Amino acid sequence: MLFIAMYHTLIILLKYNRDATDSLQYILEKKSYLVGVIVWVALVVKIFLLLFFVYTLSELADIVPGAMCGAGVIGSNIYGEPLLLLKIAIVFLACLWILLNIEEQRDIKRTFFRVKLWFFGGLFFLIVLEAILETLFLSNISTQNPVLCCSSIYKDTEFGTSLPFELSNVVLVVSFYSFLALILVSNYKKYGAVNILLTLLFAYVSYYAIVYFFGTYIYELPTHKCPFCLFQSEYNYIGYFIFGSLFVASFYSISSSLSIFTAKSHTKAMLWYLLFACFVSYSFLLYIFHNRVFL
Amino acid sequence: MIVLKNVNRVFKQNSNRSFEALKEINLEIQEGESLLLKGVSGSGKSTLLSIIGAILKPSSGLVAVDGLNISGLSDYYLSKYRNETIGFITQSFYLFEELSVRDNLLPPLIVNNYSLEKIEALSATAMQLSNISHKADQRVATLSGGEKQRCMIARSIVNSPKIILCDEPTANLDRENSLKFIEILKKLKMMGKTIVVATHDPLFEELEIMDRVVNIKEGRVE
Repeated sequence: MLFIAMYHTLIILLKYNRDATDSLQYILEKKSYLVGVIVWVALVVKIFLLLFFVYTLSELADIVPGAMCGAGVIGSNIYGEPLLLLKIAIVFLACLWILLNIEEQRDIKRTFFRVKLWFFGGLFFLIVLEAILETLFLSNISTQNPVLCCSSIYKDTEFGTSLPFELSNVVLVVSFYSFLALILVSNYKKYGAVNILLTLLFAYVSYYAIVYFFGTYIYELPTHKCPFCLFQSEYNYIGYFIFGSLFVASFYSISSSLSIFTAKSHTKAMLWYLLFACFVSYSFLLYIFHNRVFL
Repeated sequence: MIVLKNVNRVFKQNSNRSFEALKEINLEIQEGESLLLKGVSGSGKSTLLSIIGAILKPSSGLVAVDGLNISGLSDYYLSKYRNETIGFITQSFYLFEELSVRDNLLPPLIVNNYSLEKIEALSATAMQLSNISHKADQRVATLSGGEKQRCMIARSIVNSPKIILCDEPTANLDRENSLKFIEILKKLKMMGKTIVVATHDPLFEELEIMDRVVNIKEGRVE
């Protein structure tokens, strides 16, 4: 589908002239609509495919020696981590493209007509790269050689930390809630560039807070510091909710701060951040309430 | 003002069954003008109305309304244009038979998120203009043909469109109801609406209510 869309995109980019009223222009306009629909459908499917990919990683752990969860599978060869990051980036950009498509349709001058097509061109290149990486990744997973799994994530620690800047857990948690408050205020006040910066910082802090602090309460095991086990059935697939809500919140927060989008979603961003905070804090608060002890 | 410049419309383009419905149409319709499109069945009248009403896009050529090239608009703006600028009256009624006359006027209004008061006021004005106020709460299924048509007229003018397009509006009406329809058309004309009627009903010419008559033959303006 995307190859067909790309083929027509190239023709439109080469031949489209908004001021012309000849037959070719009307045909190209119809094709641009077709391209828009194809890309929209394909990109929506890609969002679900990311979730399916994460689920597949967890399932593959059963056949990879030494792997207890997706962490072992993703680290089984050099293509795993770049592939996962690329997939997340593509889904983020795909969501931006969908917004841009809506924006272009609602602009009477259709200012973003070419921008949208060029954006898709870039996205198509990334998707091709992803397909190559995915093929390399899946064909290089060995079912014979043992891999390091979650243990490697905290192997050099003794219940200690491999956190950035050698932060302690207390500082990490305080930073997490402080940034959460800041990002809520920043969305409420509708700051532009500051909001984008805070969104990225909060996503960064959140990842470490989930893996090194909140995750241990979900696993109820202070030594278990893994982002992938959260996606397993033993933990009620909570990882999908935690990372999913963080992704959606970050997306709304960033897209609302970009000036090209007239439809602002700061309120949605705030609601998703609050939902994320609930998912993250639930196990922690429950554990403290029941046991009155910190891990 | 409506401007059509070198408008062509080909159905089933690039196939061996392609059919040229409109050929090099050049036409200007002034604001507030009433125009009668005359021609036999299959001459291209309805296609031309559909292009002005943005239901169809031309295969080539320019269609501009008040300086805006409507054939280059996105679907979002085409819907907006159809909702706000065009009132379409056809020979078939396309009404919700189980709903009342008043409720049949709602679809064009609710998509605009109007307040209930505004919806009420606009509906009342449209029904009054179309002489159907006395049947406001009656189900459409129980109305006569003429009343149904007046209900459809009310729905097509409920958003106060600037342009009224009528495609064979009297084809299913007897002479009495046709005359009633023409009376409503006169009122709309007095309100400054641009009116385009495509018909082969001689009544419109007999009564000389239209400002201009344009003949269409085999897809061309004569």
